[in-house]
Amino acid sequence: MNNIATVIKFEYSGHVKAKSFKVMSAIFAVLIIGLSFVPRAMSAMNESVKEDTTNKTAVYILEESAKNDPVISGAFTKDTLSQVVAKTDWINGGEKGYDENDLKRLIGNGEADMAIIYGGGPAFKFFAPGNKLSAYSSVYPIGEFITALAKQQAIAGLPEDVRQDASEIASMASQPEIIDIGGNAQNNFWIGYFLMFLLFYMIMGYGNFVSSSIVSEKTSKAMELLITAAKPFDLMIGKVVGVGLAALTQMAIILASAVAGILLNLPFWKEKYSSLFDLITTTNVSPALAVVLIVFFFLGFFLYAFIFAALSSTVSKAEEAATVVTLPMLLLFASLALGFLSLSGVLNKTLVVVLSYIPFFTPFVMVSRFCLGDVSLPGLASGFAVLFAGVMGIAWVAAKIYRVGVMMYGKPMKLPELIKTVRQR
Amino acid sequence: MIEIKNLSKSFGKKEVLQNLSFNVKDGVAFGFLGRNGTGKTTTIRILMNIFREDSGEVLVNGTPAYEEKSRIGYLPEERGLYAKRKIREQLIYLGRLKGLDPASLENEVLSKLDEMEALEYADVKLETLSKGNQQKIQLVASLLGEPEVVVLDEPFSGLDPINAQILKKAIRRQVDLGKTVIFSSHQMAQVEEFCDDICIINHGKSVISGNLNEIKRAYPRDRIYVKGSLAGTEAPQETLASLPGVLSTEPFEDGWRIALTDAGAKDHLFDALGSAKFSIDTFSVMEPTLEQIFVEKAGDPPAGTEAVQ
Repeated sequence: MNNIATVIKFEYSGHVKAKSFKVMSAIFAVLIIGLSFVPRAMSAMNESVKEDTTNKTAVYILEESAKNDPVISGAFTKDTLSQVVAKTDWINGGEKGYDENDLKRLIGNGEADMAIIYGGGPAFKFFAPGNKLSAYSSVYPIGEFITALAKQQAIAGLPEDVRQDASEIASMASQPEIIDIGGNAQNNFWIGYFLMFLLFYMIMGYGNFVSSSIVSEKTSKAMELLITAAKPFDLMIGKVVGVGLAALTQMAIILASAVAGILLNLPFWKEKYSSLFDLITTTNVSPALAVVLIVFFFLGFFLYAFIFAALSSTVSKAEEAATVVTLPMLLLFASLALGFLSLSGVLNKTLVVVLSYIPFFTPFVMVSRFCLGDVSLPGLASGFAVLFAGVMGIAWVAAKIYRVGVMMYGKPMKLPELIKTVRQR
Repeated sequence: MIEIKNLSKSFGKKEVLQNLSFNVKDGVAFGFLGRNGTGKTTTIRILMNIFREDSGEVLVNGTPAYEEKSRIGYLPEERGLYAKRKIREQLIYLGRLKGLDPASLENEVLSKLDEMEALEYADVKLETLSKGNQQKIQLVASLLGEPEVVVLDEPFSGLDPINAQILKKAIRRQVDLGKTVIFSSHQMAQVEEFCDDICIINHGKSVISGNLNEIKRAYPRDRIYVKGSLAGTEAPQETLASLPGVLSTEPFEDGWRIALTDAGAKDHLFDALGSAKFSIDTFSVMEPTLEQIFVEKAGDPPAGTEAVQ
């Protein structure tokens, strides 16, 4: 383990200290921050931008308990709600005799953009369609409004001779129960494309880094000294993880630049791209599932990086490395294509499920299934288990090939010859 | 002690080592010799656990060599480190991989660089150094952690005389410290200068091994070097050739090399030189050089002839 950590540190520092890494990261950062100003600049130049004047339609129902409460019935009106959520026409569903099922139907068939049921106190039910992202941005102001109402209700309801603990009221907060009605994967769709493309880019770019780094250790003849000092397995794992962390660092720089760019133009972006903020704030990716997605992301990287490492160890020249990694590259392209196809709904559902449990495709197809809301937590866990086992298996085979490959010079071996040599060792 | 026992190794159909056996005693400088492609590097790589043997074993103090790898320093024939990394950084990295104490490693690296007259290069990239200086850095890498056994595969190849002297000094120091130094080289003069014991291999088999002086002494003492003058003649070679027991003569250095019919003829030759009024400055038995032994043992017979057993 010590040697793996040593190799990781050496490889990581080698990459992040390299001039090319610094220059590329700086270019990315400047480019992304610069791009974040473009919409603002374009908008300033184009004065004929039309404002969106279309109002949303929302329905509210007050439960009996709330209707009878003078604090709530006095404040919970169409007019007040229109002030709370701008550009929205509110309908009193109670007056029309609507119940919860009616609200779901209205939202499901597009007659309403959102709905709430409130019975007093901090809790309320919020209904919105999954594909209407802008509706979700209303949860926050409604929640604030209901919090204020609940506090007033709490104070008004107290007997005059009893003093309410002020801190209890002050800490009161709304408790929305958000119900997604008839939602589709439109919002997650783009996240899916983005994640898959990011994974593809990462494997392509940094997988090739792993490959060229191994070939360079062979051509520089450093390899013979390295493998007398450490186990080939440690060297390979350390290299792949070290390069992976360097990739992560560069991605963090890219993302941080994007965030910095948005923050620098925050008022403009909030105004013009509210749906983007809805996407960020209301997407149903819980922290636990976000972790799972990141894990899928990295296992996918490791799976392909180990294949790249093993195959690159069998050649002695950079141009030969490009040839031996052709096959995994094709596999990678196929995985990306399958991920995209499954996301767009072209593929048969059973086929998508099967593909999502084949380790080479799991990182892409499982992410697509997740984004479509087509996989349960146990399904996700099974996919993780399959992918993890696949990575372990590939790492084991890769280490065997690596051990033999790093000492092979001259003409690259044909596959049957390589298998025979690996088995002999 | 390092014991190489019945070591065999094939690559495909090519049998590189065939039951190779020899021992290396503790604290000696050992010359491991052979022509190109006879299995020297393969043997060393098995010792370093880079290759696995097909059969046989390599023991270091009775323990399989792969368990003692950390006690062996290695300068490979194929040399190279990270061209784009700083010398100090990569030497510390190699030391860490060998399991050396991080606290004292940097001091050791700097002290070894100083010893090799390369301290000024500690913070420069390897690619900026000449080949000879890169080789010195590589030797520093192999000596990190004060290994008990040092294996040097062609240590002098590509070095200029000044750097060769620095390297020799460093190797001499290892020998003086009582370390076992295994030395593989084609430069016989340097092997002869350093090594107490040798092993010559040919076609993957040991053809001769043991103490170099004893090997030399075991050769017939029928070659004599004579230096001196014969009054009244400028060309005494004809006189020398006519003396009893002399097979042939040829000029050698400042005198003549004389081949005798047998080792017993040397006393007669000495007497005969006196009788012939030859004024002797030097009269000595010529032992074979390592190069002569090497050519004799490792040189294949000319095509069309069979080796004489």
